[in-house]
Amino acid sequence: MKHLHPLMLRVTGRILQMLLHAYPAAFRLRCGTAMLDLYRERFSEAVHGTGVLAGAALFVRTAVNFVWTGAVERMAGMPKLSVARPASVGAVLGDVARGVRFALKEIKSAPVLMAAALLSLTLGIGATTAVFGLVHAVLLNPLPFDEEDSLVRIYQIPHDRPIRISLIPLTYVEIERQQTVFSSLVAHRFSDAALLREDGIAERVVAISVSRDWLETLRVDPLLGRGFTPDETDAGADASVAVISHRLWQREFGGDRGVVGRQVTINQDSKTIVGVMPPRYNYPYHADVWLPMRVDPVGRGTWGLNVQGRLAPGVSLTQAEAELEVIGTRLAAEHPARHRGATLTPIPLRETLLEGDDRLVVALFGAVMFVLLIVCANLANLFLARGIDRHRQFAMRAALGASRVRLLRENFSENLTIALLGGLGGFAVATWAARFLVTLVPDALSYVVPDVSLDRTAFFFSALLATSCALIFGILPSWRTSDANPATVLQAGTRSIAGTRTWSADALVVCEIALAFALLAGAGLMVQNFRALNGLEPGYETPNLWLVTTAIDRPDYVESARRIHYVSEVEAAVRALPEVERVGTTSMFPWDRANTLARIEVEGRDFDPDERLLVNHRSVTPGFLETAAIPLLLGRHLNSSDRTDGNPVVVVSESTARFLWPNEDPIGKRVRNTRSTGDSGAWKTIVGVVADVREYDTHPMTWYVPYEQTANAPTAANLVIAVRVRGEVNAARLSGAVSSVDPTLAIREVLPATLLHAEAFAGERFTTGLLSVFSLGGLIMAAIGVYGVLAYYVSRRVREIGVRLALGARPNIILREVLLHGITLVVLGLGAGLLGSQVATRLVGSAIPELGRLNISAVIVAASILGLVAVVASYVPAQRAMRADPMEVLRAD
Amino acid sequence: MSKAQSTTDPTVFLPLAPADFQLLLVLSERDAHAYGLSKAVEAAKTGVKLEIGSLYRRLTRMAADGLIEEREGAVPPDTPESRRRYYGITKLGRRVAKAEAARLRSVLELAESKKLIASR
Repeated sequence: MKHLHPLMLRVTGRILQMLLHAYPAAFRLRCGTAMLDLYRERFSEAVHGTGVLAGAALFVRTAVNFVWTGAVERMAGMPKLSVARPASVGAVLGDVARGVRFALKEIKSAPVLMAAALLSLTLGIGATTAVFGLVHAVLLNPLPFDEEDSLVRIYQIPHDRPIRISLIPLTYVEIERQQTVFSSLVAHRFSDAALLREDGIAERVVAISVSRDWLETLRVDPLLGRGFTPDETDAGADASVAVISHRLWQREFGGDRGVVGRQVTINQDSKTIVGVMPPRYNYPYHADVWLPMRVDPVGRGTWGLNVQGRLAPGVSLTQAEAELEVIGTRLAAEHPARHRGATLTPIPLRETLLEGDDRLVVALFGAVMFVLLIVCANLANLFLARGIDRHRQFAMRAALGASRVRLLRENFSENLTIALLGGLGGFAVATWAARFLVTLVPDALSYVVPDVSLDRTAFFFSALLATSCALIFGILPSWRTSDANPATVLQAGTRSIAGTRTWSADALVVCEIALAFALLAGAGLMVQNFRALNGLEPGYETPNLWLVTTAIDRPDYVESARRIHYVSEVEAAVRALPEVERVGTTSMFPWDRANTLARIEVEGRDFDPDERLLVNHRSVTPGFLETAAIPLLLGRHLNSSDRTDGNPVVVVSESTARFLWPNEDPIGKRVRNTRSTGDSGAWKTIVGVVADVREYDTHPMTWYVPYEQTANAPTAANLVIAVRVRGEVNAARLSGAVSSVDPTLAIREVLPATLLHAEAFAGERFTTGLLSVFSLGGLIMAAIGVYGVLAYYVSRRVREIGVRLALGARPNIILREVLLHGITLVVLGLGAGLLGSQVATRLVGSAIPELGRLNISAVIVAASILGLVAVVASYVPAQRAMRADPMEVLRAD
Repeated sequence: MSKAQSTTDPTVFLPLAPADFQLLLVLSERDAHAYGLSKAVEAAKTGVKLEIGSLYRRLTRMAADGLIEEREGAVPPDTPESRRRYYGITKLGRRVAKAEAARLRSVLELAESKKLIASR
């Protein structure tokens, strides 16, 4: 320990020596040595008396004290203000008013410089505020549930694929029975329902069936009426009661407060309205209606259960995780088909609502921050340049008797005025930009947060940015100005200052290039990544393909025969339209955010039960593969001979075949769904292999089973009718043809496949588009900054260049020197930027694993653009200086 | 240079900052260097604490105001001690300290009359 003291003393002494620069030079020269001596004495005393910690404490106290008293000493402008009373309010206001007037005058007198500063501020603050508003709305806003932090959603997560699967009723019932970590649980089940309007037309609404403890778990109070009683949830659908959303209440009942007790017809059943939910509450899945549900452990439905748990007081997420894992293992032993190879996992509710969309927001926020840094570097340069031009003016006024505090105050209020104008403009831009950003809000989260509004927080954020910009970049140059001796400044003309400024200006240029480069490279990477994701062929032809989505999840459509009949009737009705070329039906279309999966096993192969293959499950009619134009690679498509009573068959996607039989012909091999029983669980013979299609979660292993052979499966209640048309088609005619078969079934949507495809990637496209715009903005800002500083630097040297030319220097050598300086800065900046973007990519890469590495072409493009700007920025003013008449230049000073 | 020389009225400096008063009190007894001053102020236990930067700022300002002055120390010139700067109180400084003490006494008397503290 002993040897530590001298080392510590030396290091801390050195640091304090540097901190002495906080004081004005005069004070520093007079007292600096004595102060450090005193520090050393007191340090040794403290260390020997109390110990190393006392020494460290002394160091920290002294360091803070140096900075603070240094600042005070500078502000006081010793010795003049030694016993000064605080300036009167009137004097301060006078200085501020003068500052504001100066600011306005400055804008008039140096329009380009000030316009650049204001524009930088406006755009920088605007973009940041808008994105901050978005981030605030998406990531920070509370959900409409009380104590949302203790709410989790429970999923089943397969070991071999990072996807979250909803629970089946059995799992829910078992968790509810065995668990001890939740104070209560609730299950939601989605369904499309037809609401019979008063004018007799069925309208599609989202009806959510909820189990016991619904509002108790989520802690939401209805606006009117009540939720469901335990008796009602136990009775399930027989209870004939419903709770409606605020939106539905307004739309269908005109906000009538006497609505509780009235009747409403949902899926041909009459229900009594017992409650109305508060505004904006439409959780989950944009719900319009909530119905009571009794969870039957052996019951099945099209959609899984969306289960939420409220953690009991004092229980942590980790404890809940541990217990659910135990329950999951127990269930796996009892019901291997359903639970093996998967873990039950609680995930915080907010996280489930974001579903990875938050990464886009975070990436965007990062990009905006980069732009803001570039803006700040620009501002620093502009303010520095201006500060130096006004150096002489300030020195003159100081010499004429203006107090330094007053000059500082004036200068400060001047900068503040400019910053506030920029802040105001930024707020306007943000308000405008927010309208576009609204489309970025993740779909899932808009269940509960439907709009992004710029709130006070966003405004304060913007104002804080503006004032800090003014503080830092406004004070820096005037600080230096106020420290200078008027006499020297006035004598020196403009020469001496150019030199003193160069290194800080150079550092700023390097920073600016580095930031711009990192931004460009990062944006290029994201755009390229998106192209790679989006550029993949969908796998089938989207033009002229229309999709009609409906559902037959009503009790009267449970029978296979009824379903098969309905589907064939619908296909016939659609095919009868003259503009229709082909028609086929599937239970699920790619790009839908939901998915249905089957865990399959291969005949004769002894798979570890945990490692059976998970494939996308598609129940299709014979015409579907041809209608979607998914290319057939081997064997045959499904056809009309694949009937209920026929030999069970299946068509698999290319990657499924390749995964299971890398070197074999898959035709004739047999596979089956391990989770199904009866007909749909039978061994199926592979009759064909089709090309892969792009699925929403990018996993292309799919199997297509004949609808007729799997119509009894719950997933077969969901229908997407694919229609290949010739030329123009009327959506109303398509939906009319479908609903002509059973008008009481509501149609969910009718859209062209091109639109669906565009929608599926809208978020990414928007973000990358925005990112490109930001990068372009960043590049322009950086170009302005780099140009401005280099040009300024060169123009400062006009006099020197003039002298050298007059003395016979060769213009080429001077030009080369100037260019070299610019290029050196660019190279340094690019090097720093490359290093920075590597680090950034590493950081972002951990959040977005599929992002990949920094790609060479983006790096080269960014580097060459910035390099070009720097060369032009050095060349143009150097040329101008070269043309100047040496005598003119020399006479001018 | 400052108010101190243009006027002999010590009351312009009143009320004195507690730390300034402490420093004047120490110097009224004997000349001292910065280290001695900081130790003495600390030892007086009047709640006044002086960090190094503040101490020097005060000394510089008080010297500029004419309350104290730098003096040759009673140390041989070529010892390490000679690097130290000694401070002594000026006549003005002594008068200011007296005036401050008188002011403080009247403040105390006021407090006593209001029964805030017991009179001795």
